[in-house]
Amino acid sequence: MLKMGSGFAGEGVDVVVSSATGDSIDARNLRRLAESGITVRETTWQPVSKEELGVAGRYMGIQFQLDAPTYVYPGDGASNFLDCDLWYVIADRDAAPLAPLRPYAIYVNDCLQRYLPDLLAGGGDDGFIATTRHSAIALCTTPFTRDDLVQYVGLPSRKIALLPPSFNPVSLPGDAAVRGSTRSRAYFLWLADVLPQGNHEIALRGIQRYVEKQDGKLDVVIAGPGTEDFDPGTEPGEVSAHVRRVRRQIARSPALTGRIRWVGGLDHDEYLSILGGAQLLFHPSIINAGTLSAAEAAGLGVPTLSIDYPPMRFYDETFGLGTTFFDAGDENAIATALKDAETRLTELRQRLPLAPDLAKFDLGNGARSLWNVVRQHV
Amino acid sequence: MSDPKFRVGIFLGYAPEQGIIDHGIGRLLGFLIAGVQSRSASPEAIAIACPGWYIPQVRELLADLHIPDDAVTLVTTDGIPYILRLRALLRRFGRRSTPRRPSANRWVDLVVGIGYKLAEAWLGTTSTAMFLVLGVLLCVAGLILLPVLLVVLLVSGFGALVGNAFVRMGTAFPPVGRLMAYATAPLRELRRDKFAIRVYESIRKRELVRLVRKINRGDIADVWYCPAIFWPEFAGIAGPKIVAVPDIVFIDFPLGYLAHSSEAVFVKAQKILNADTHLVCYSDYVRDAHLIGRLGVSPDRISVIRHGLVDMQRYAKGATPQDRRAWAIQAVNSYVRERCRNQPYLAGFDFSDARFALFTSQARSHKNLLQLVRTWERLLRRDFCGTKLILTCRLSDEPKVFDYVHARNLQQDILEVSGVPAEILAALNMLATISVNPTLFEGGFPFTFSEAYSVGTPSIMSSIPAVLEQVHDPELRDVMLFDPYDSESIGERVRWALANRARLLEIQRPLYDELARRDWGVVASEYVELFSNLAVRS
Repeated sequence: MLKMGSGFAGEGVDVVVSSATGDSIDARNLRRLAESGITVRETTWQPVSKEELGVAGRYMGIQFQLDAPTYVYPGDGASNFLDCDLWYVIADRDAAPLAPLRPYAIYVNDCLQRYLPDLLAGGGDDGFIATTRHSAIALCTTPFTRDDLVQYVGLPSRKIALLPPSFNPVSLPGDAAVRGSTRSRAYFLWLADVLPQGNHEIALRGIQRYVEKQDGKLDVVIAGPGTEDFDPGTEPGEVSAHVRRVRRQIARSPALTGRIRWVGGLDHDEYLSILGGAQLLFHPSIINAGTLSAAEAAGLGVPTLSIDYPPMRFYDETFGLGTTFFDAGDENAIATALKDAETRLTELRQRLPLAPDLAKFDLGNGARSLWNVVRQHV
Repeated sequence: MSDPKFRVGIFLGYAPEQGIIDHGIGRLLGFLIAGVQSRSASPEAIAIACPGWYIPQVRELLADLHIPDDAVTLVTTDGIPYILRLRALLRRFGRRSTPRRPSANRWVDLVVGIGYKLAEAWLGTTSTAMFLVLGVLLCVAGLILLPVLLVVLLVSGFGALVGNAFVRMGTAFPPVGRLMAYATAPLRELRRDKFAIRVYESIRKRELVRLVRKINRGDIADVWYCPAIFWPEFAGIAGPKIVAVPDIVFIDFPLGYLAHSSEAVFVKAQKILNADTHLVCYSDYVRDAHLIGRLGVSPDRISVIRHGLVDMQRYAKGATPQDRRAWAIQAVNSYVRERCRNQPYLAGFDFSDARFALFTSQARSHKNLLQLVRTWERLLRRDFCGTKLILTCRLSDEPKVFDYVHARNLQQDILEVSGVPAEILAALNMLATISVNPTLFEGGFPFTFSEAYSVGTPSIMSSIPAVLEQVHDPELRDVMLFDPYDSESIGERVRWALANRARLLEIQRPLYDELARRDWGVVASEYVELFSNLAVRS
């Protein structure tokens, strides 16, 4: 996006991507990066004490304002990214703050830890908060996250940039074999993860009720890395207590075992194929930053059924998705919403935005906005 | 006022170190002092009597209220009991002992530095003659210094042995550690310790009796006023006396105050209420339910004088609303940066654009704090209201609330900004989206309403007798009151108020205007009228 945005502005900048040791970038993404002229450096996050950082600052002629005892910096074995004019950081919940060796912009997807205190079970949030507070600018794509940056992180609005959400409008691949694999019976797609905030237990009770009490006709396809561990017909190895609970719940219900199909993690084409073949996209997670899959689904003619929470409301209004909302904590509401959507599919599809309307939110648009903000800090 | 040179004495028997600038009583005294001074021609219209240990807090209060020291006559006991002086000395010593370490390190660094330089000069030379001469000189110096070094080593070894012995004794003999804690811990940390309470009570009693004797020896005031019910010695003052009875909260919430120290307060309260004193309370409810109904006080001994309006606007700086808001942001940001350094989250928080609800109160069991924080968790995590809650009490004073906040990782959304001076309280009220008061009981209409409204912030609060006495309009009751026992009711009002701040402010205007007619000058007149009548009767 940075490369693209700066290119559009006629200011093409060099972009170097930091890839943490152990995190492999898949071949497709590596190819895309290389085609864009972006290099990748293997990075190991290195701790550095406040005193050591003070020494580095004196070498650099900078007096850092340092409050934490320890910081981290991206070690690449060479210049440690100090040859860059600006760091663009994707926020994470690190224990130690980022060493302010370079001015940096930070992209914050969400502040889930504010709503899900168990995420902080391993420690506090000091590193994330300090890193974000010391950034030159914090970027986000939903007003909900912007509000969290003011209310939770404690930033003044002038240090926050709200970028327009953008996505890559998609079309169905031509591989009929992939399409056919999941289209023997009509289904809705649930893009899940294995974390408790996925709201699996209540959502599954809602689906069970939809099948047993509401005579629901649609099957369920559950996709997402690791979600096949929920399948009681597999041997998952070591799994979390949450996954074990969900497996037992599914195993006890013939309605669920008979209706759910597990496809696990998908590559891009498989994802598009399964999404495009679905009657509905089902999104019951308790809270996250919202899913852009709803916009991608709309581009493929698939309506979305989502829990009602601010980021998804925002996406619904921004993209004009015509989303159907339900209460995530109420299994009856979930069952009723599924049945209602099943019977009104034609109407729901008619509420979807047209392709030209969605095209306004393509990545190029997002890249321009991003570069407009970032360039002010380079 | 019948006597234009009327003089009023205020009796304060608080413990050392107990600040009152952030308590309602401190603000009430401020308004009362200003009101009496404006109505009396006497240059000594107001006297404040307190033990010698409390002078710093009185001066702090006067400064916070912008009242010059010389506007008030201070009457105090001579000197401070030695036990308190020794304690103060030990505390100072305790605080100083830690920073001494770096200076010891500096000596070590100096010695090592000299040794290093000498070694460098000796071994770094290229001249054989210089090498030999310096070597001989260093050997001679070493021989001369050897006995000194031996003595130093022996002394430091013996010191370490003695130190270790003390450390072992400290762990095997807990009372030593406890005694050190009595000497060095802040008094508020000892307020639940029976031994500390007993010692303090005997000191307090002796000092207050001395203070009363001194008052009775002089012609200081025509009427004496005591703003609390904890000091039965006040009854010993000759002449007319008035005791303020904010409430006897134990009557309504007996299970919230089961500690021995609370019962002791109740016993003291009964003593002073049964003495030859006139009583002032702030609401009909306290008069009827507590004093007459429960304690059998004769109605003719009781006056109800309601609070006046608390106008926080006088602390705000700036000509326009925008200027005043900018002042408030700057004041709060600077305050937390400087005074909350040990809380990095709060110290680095920028309040420029933050939304928060404010509850200004002390932590007491009837303040309903646990209900409020539980409600706030739901507002944040279920309803995504995003708004913070700021409390001005010390959460550690209510361990159940403190534990809940930390167990649920709410400490970054439910902030404690305690012990704030009036100016910061005004700034916080100005920046707050709403003021919220979930108390289960108040002796009078809550100060929080006018504190907030006077700087442009609306309030929601509990539907309790002291509030219902003041809020009559059914529509106003519907929009600003909630059932403090019902979390859903609190949450529903908070959500509405956050979304309808401007409308709530508009609806509450008549209530504020009605309260504003009763400024502290009016209240002071009623007090002075009462003082005057009592003086005439005596």
